[in-house]
Amino acid sequence: MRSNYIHYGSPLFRLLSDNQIEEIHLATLQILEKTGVKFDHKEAIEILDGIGADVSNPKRIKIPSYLVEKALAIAPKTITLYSRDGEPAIILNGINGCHFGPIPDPRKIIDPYTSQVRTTYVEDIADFSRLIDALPHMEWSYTASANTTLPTFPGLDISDRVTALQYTRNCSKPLISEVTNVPALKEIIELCSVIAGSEENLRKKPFFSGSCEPVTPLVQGEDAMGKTLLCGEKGLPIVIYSMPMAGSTTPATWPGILALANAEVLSQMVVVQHKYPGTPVIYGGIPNIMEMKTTIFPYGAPELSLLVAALTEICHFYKLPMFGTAGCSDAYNIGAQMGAEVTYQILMTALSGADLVHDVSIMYHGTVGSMEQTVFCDEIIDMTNTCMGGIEINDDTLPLGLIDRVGPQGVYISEKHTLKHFRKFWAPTIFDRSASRNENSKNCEDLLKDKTIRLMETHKPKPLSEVVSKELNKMEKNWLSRIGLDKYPERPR
Amino acid sequence: MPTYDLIVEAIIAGEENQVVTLVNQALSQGAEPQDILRNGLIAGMEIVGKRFRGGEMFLPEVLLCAEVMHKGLDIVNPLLAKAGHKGVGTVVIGTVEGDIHDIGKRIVGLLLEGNGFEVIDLGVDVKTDTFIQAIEKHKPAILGMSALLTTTMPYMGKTIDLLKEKGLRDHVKVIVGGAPVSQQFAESIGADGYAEEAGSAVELANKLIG
Repeated sequence: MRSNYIHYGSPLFRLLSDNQIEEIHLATLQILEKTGVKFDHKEAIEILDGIGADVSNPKRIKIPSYLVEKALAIAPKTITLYSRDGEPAIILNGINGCHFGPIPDPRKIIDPYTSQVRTTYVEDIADFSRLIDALPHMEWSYTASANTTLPTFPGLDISDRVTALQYTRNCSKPLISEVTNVPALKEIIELCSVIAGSEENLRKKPFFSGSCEPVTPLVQGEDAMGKTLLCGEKGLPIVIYSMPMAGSTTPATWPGILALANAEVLSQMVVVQHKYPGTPVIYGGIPNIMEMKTTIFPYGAPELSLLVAALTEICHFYKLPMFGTAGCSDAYNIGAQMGAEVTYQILMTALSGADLVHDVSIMYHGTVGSMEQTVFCDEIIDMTNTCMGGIEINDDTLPLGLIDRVGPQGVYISEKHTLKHFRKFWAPTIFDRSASRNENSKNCEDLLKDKTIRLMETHKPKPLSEVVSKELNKMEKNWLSRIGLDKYPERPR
Repeated sequence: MPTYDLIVEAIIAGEENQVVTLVNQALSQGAEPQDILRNGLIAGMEIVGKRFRGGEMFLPEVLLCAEVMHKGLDIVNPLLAKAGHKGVGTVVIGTVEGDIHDIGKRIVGLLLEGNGFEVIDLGVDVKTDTFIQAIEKHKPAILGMSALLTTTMPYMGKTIDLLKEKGLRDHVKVIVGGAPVSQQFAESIGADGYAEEAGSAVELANKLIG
């Protein structure tokens, strides 16, 4: 029996004090009330007008604080994402820790067989999705619309739908889609409804969430707002996140960028929670620096980790779930830079606790992805878990009787206690821990490649039912015909 | 001439007062405004551009140099106009229809201005017709289009097609950029050039105006 005893179930980490979070919150309210936000969406402007915002200048719509407080009070504090097959998969509540998700459709990939960077083909998206299905620490995926092998037309790029289809065929984990526009989002919701059995089923057990991006600083595009309202209408979750760049689209100082990132989510929140109260909004952001030598958005920058961690604390202050970022690198190959950057990020995000961690697998300022990097990150997450569980003290873990019996100059290696507990020591699958080397010894890079290829080639994901597959095949044919193709461009081998 | 070297150095150092003093000094010593422009102001920015592309200078520093260069330009421009000399060139830029992203384009615009171009920024969500009207009005040497979305990128091709239709295609060089854009895409729509980022956009613009 213990009394008044505190045990830490994880390391404790804080960047911002309660005062500081409150200060940034108040500054955000000031930005919304005095500076205002530009809205392009007609209906959103009407809604804001109707509830008391000052819309006399739509380029600077001023939102009074009480509307923000109201919206925050209404927004759900727990959101459950389900697997494709209807099982609860991820509970987002700001308390449950990090759930990591890669991107199966980068514009280019590092071919795991040749180690060369090349264009991603639709077949690669299927392979990548299958790999994600196999990895224990990848719990969901973020799909984009980056595939370049499919022709695009004004307002029409089917790559987002094609990606969602490849993913759901090859992986049963939850899906969040960055969709090209509102009509595309409607079609992806239809796709997911077919898989769920009905739109009602999808709403009850969502394995899909939409995603939208305000433009920094302080711009709500028509499309971004439209996607949120559509998800609100359907009762589906939506991620709202921007990608502010310090010194470029925000001030070059951290509290400035955080307040803007915050304002950009909250301003959409006000609109959607009024029109569709209770819409499951997943708060997000990738605040970062702009690399001032080359103007890229450096995914591997330590500042990204710092700022996402700080934004996580602000988000959790609102009791909302956080959509963050980690496991990214600016390297163009699998090597030391990648290793360092992803490890730093995964540890930082584990400590700060963003609920959904996306972009795990991204390289070279977001233009390249890698299956090997994803497998590497899976290993690092496993490794990080070792330090995230706290240290429990009880009679078994602090065995004074054993210590006394073994005594000075004793040995523990053959003790039953050691046999009972040693399997909890972390066991790497791709790091060399050999005691001596021979001609068959392999370095991490080789072990990583072997493991990646083995998983890709041997893993058998649970297939969709025949009925569902038939329906989805019809949809696929329809999309392809709209862009003048009857099949996908073949991956050269 | 020594004064030009000093102007070049003052621009690289971002010393506004120095540039203004030296430009006025050069004029009072009888230097031609177009020589000050080419051998002092633009020469200075060329070195800045080279250092930026070589990773030796940072963008905010480059923009400071550009601002300082403009103080010098403000002095020589009226004199050039009076004498009937043309400036470096005019560039019309804009983010295409349906797209509201513009930070990349803004940076390109600032750097082009810093290199002596007159930049007319049409903003975001620019309809193809608006691009055409701007070309007819301003008669720029270069049209620059930006897009961040795969669904709006195709409007670049539409604009080029419309230029052809209106018989304007040969009157202007077209360059394109933005995250989803590529050299391959630029070639497929018949653009004259593609730049991966702001620094090389300026290099490209300079090359195209010869």
